[in-house]
Amino acid sequence: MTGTADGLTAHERMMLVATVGRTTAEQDEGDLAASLHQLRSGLQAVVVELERMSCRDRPEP
Amino acid sequence: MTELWEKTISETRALIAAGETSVVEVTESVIARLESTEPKVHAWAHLDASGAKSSAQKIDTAIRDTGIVPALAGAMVGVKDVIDVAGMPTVAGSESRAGAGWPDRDASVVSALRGSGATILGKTETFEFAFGQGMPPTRNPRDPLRYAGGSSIGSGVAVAVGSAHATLGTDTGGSVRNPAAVNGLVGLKPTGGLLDLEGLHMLSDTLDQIGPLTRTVADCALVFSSMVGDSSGKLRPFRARSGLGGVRIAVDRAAWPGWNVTDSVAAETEKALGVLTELGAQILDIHVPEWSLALPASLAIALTEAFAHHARALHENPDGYLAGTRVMLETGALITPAEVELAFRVRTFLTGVVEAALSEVGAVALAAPTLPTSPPTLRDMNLALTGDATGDGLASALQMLTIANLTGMPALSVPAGMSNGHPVGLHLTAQSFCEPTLFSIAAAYESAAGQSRSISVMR
Repeated sequence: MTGTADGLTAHERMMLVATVGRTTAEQDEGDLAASLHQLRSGLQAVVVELERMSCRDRPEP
Repeated sequence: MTELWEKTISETRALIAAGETSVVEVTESVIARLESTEPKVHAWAHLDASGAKSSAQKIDTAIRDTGIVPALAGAMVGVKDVIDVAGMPTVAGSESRAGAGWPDRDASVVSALRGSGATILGKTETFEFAFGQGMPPTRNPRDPLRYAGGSSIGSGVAVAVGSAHATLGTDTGGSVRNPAAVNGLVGLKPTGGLLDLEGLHMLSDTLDQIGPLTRTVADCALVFSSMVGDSSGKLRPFRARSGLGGVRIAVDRAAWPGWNVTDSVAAETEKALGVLTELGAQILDIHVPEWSLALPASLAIALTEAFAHHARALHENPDGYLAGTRVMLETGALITPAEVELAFRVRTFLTGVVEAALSEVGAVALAAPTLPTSPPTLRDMNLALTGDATGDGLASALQMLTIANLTGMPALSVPAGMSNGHPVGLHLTAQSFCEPTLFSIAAAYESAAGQSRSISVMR
């Protein structure tokens, strides 16, 4: 995996400590940030697509 | 003359019923085959040869005493190493489980298979916790430098080389159908919620299914029937009137370019659709632009649910996991509740969309290629689940296969020709609890195409 995001945000690091109980290993962080970025991009595309479909299906005024 | 290990399950049972062989003889033949192929393909994580022979002797004795030949008598079965078998380790392809105790109970589906007379040979190799990360020792029997399918990698290769008649795999996003297609086998992901999954080390509570891999459709149906047991009343029967006359099958060819289906795979799929047409089926074009919603939603659900299973072990022993698996689990830890909620909304929405698309044209099944390409080389294989879905990689396959997991619909891959020297799978999806529909269509196709065994058993 190649990084497409700079790294985790401070909030995400805090969340990781809260859920996993530790900070991620340094060597993992770039891959984790990239993975999260990819997944979030996919979900964002879902939101856009759902919105587009909702507009498409809306009856003409 | 074919060897005992080459016979199908129904052929083997018939020989046993006729007194021409015994379960012990079949066991010895399959184990000999396993010992000759294993140094090349490494499909097995654990073999219990003495336990299998002891079990075979008991089945032979019971047959002699009662005159009853069970449905799976002589069937030699391997179990993916994320499913418990009593007296065998469940390592799940992970160092983190190296010191784990051995289960003293069979998983429910394993118990059901034993109850139907199957002999359990051992455990088959898996990618770590069925995630698809890292690289197990198992090799593609047609080309050791190429991907052998996953995550049920050993389950596919074991059946392909004849070191088992059938295996169990698990399928969260295609992990039974993917190795079935790569290895020229039949693989089924059953309807979500149909089978009792007790004894499975789950990846995703709501997407996982256990499914069989076999050399023929008839064998797949036999093994599946035994796995279903008392739940068989939930299944909807299907009877084609004559051949496949009157059977309507939908196909979304417009989606194939977006799934990066190669010309060669598309050509083989078209040939398969041609065979179905000759059998009397009507092939109806549909278009479902919403397919693209499936992959992100499926990943958000799978990774979140997987993290819930692994949170404690990840905290206690992070270095016991492969880095790739660890990153996937940690991705699951960081997905927000709002994102998970969106994913579940997409799941409900997409289920309705697919059901409506099939109903609109009166189709009982949806046909597609199982995988977009022939297996890539290991060097070129991109294992990133959340990565680019446009190249040779897991994400590319996932986007086609995960739809059935997300909607809960049953789906089956049946061998359908060759591309660049490697098998191509025809993927059939049906409405929930319509596994008999899949078996009927696939069996008719297999019989007409006449190619299942010739491309699935390595000599």
